[in-house]
Amino acid sequence: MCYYNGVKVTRSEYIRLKSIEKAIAQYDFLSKPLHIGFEYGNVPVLKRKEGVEDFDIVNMEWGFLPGRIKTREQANKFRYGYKKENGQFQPPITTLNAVGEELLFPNKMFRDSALNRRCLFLSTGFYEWRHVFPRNKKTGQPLKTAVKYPYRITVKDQEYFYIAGIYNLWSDIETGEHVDTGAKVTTRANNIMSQVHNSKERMPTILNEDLAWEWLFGNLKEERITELATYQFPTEQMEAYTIAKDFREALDPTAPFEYGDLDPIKLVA
Amino acid sequence: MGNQNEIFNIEYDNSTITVEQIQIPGQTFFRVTFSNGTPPLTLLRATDVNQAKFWTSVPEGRQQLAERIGPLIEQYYRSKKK
Repeated sequence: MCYYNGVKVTRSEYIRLKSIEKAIAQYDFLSKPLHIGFEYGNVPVLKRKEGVEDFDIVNMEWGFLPGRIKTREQANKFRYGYKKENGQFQPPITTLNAVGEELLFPNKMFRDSALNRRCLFLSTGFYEWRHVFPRNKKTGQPLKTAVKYPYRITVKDQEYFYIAGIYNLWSDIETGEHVDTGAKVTTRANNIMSQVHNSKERMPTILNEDLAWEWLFGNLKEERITELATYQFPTEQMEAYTIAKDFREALDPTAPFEYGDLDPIKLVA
Repeated sequence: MGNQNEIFNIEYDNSTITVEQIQIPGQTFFRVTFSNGTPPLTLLRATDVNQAKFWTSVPEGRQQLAERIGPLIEQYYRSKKK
């Protein structure tokens, strides 16, 4: 006999339910072209199977939750902020991304995961906003308020690519809910991304197949973890194009959209 | 790989939740989305060792929530038949 969710089931039913998990995972991953970080939804992630060079594709909650968060209520306060008893607003702590250069800093909440629980976010493309400051027609000086243009960024000739990630198995002590929560690792922007994401000049740490394998399965020293976490994927292997400003509500958020008033980005390797 | 079927709303815990019925070969399951920030839940009917049906979350980990919402989905379909 086996247990599924604490209920005693036959072995055949257990296998059936596990098979459905995989089918549902594929359904989720392949049917959704856009995951919005601040919705803290599930995203497709490659997670190592314990002790072997093999992995599972799992649904992981995007938004790292540290162990000190004990309940879903605390998690919501952590992620969205809340009003304290004295009336002051406690701002949210955003853990969708983890800064690659700082992963292993002492006392950093991501440190233990970076050492022991590395994973790979599976992506078909990601989205960033380019800030352009129009010039005042009279003075020629740039205006203070930027016009924002959304871009979709992909890797050339690859349907999927890998983004370095770290995760934590988080438990809700009230409900018994166990869920993997993760953060994408980011690095300094390369040439193309410094033009697209020009407000922050950061980009996800995209890894080619060899580096992704090493990130997932390698017995890595701290120096190597930081090297991989800060790896800059080459500009010449990436593509970026503008999309509609309301892409988040669009039926196809990946559809190209041209802005007549926007200078193209300059691709210099 | 999935065929999207019906999408409907039901009341749960003083809010409206959206339920999407999804079919993959040989199995129907339900995807529930919440308006209060709770992560989406996937649930389906399974059979325990005594051949009794029960609602369960897939993947594992949210059994209590599945047991609360599953009967509401059944109730929706029962009221639809009337």
